Amino acid sequence: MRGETERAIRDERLSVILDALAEAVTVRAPNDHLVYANPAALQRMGVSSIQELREADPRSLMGSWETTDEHGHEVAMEDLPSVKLLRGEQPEPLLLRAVHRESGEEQWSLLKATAVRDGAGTIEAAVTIIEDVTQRRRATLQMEFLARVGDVLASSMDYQQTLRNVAGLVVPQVADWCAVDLFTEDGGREPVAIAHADADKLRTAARLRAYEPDRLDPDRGLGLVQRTGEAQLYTEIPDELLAAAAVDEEHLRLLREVGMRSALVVPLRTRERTIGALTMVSSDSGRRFDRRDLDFAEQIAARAALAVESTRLYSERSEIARTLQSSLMPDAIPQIGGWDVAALYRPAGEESRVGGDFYDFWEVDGDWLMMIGDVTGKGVAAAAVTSLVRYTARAASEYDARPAQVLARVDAALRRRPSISLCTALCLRISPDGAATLAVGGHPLPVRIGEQGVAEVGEHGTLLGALARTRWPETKLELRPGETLVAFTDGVTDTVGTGGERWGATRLNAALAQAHGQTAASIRERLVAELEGFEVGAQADDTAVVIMRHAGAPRDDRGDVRYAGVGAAQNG
Amino acid sequence: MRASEPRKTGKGEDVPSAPFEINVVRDRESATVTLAGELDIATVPRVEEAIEATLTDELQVLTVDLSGLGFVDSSGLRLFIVLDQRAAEQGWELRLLRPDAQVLTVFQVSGVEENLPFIEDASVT
Repeated sequence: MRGETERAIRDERLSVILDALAEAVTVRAPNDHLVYANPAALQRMGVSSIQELREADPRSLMGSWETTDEHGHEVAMEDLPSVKLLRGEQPEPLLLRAVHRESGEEQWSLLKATAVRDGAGTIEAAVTIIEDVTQRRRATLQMEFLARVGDVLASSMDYQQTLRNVAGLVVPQVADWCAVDLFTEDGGREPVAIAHADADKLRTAARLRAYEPDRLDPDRGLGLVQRTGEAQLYTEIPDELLAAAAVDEEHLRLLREVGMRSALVVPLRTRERTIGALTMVSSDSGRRFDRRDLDFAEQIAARAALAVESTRLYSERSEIARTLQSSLMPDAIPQIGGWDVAALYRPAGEESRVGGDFYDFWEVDGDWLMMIGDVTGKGVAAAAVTSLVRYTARAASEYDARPAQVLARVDAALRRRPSISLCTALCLRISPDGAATLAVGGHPLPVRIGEQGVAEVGEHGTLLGALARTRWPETKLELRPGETLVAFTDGVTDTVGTGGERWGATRLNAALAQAHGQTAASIRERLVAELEGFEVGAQADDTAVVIMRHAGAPRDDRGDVRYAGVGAAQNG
Repeated sequence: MRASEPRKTGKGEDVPSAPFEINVVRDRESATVTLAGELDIATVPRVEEAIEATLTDELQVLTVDLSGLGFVDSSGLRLFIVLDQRAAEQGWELRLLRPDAQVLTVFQVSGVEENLPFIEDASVT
């Protein structure tokens, strides 16, 4: 190279300017040799002087780096903007990723080339300005990556699947090998996910994991992370470290085969504890993890831990809801002397929701009390109120078992609560001989099915829990054998069908019109079939029904009517 | 304010129903919320939200017009009982304009009607 460019490079004033630039600048001659690099460029290329640069084969300069474009395609010297320019092309700026083959250092650069022409317009040299975009590029990639992690984490309520998806995402972009382990309560580990960029290596990695002890060593790797909750960075993994970690020759062979260059282990932490760890290993890509990679991995782990915690909470919540719900209902309908009883409960909406409908049966002085009700509100708060109502009613009946008095006691207990707690309830006392006493508080009146057909019975009373003026009139009934009382919550008659129409009392009565003489269980089946045939979509409210058919008073050996429940009957 | 999209239930399915409408008219010291449609567990939250927005410090009288309601369930009853208690605590006046006979029956049989400030006509003061 002769002429203007050469003179310019030797110009002291220009050198001062170029030396001071933070951007790396190189000048390439038409024979592809680099003839100049400012100090920033020399440093990036790992060359000590311009003299050394000029003497070097330009390919060997690139040869110490693994170079790819942003899509991971290999970049050869011919693809560099300066080389293209010298061949007469008009190159676009190139975003170049370079990983040093020895040190594992990763650089992202934006290369822009400009031609220097002589007086005749012939290209004399190509000047490349190399902007270091490593931090910017990493930040962009990390943001994109974390956004994808967020999508993956939100995609499944199965936390194991979620973690496998995350591991799959980490490979190969962030690491060559990624594993997720959860720590068990007893200090062991549960391997959940392992992903490797190379399927063969995945098998090796899987075999390798078989060597890892079930009980973690609290002073290294996973065990250390579990014990301290602190992330561990192994920037370099020298062979001595592998040899020290290997339990036998085969283990060491596998460790070497995986070719671990660098590794990091970050905790999956929730507010309470470290639930597991995310391990990333760099091997074939030659990358060496640094502090920034560790920070990034911790961000991924934080998101993963949150996702695991929420899926766990979700399943726990469902479990709590089921447990609560079952605690609000009797385990089984008791055997009630002289009565054939069946009940129905259908919760509305989501699985994890606790409904507000309930029913209960308990024995008092040889009679039975039945209560069915609907606590307004949903969820755990409603469940707490339901418990209060049930146990208050049971306790109250020990002192005064008249249904109106039971309702009054429940009303008083609800009013003592700090926030408004409302409940509709129906309380019925039945005797083995078919006698019944009924009181209703803000609840639908029950229907009686007899030879004359279906009719509402009882008298309305005040909704429980908040109202100042109250009254709970009692109604005395005498059921003949074969006659049935059906008590229900408003979810039954409010069931929504086509066009938003409600099931209503008319359809209920029609469904029960032919029920006289049928067993309680068959009446229940009939109601379920009718409701299921009518309803459209998921219902917003629970439904509960209690069906009590007077079966005729049980008689003992002497033919006397026994005023006792099943407990006494079994003992007697 | 108008709200008549299909109701969503827990499973996300649409339950077909008559449209439910909430209209709010207010000046500095009073507000009238007019409800039309079916007031149940699915529509109550929307009414609560609309009413909440009217409960400013300046409010003296809140009138809720129930004459357009075609249905009310126990969660609807609860809504008005809670409102009545808040009115007492916060020192403003609640007035409920009577619904038609069928819906009024629900308030009557539950004993709610005799405990809440129902009025016949909005012009009554």
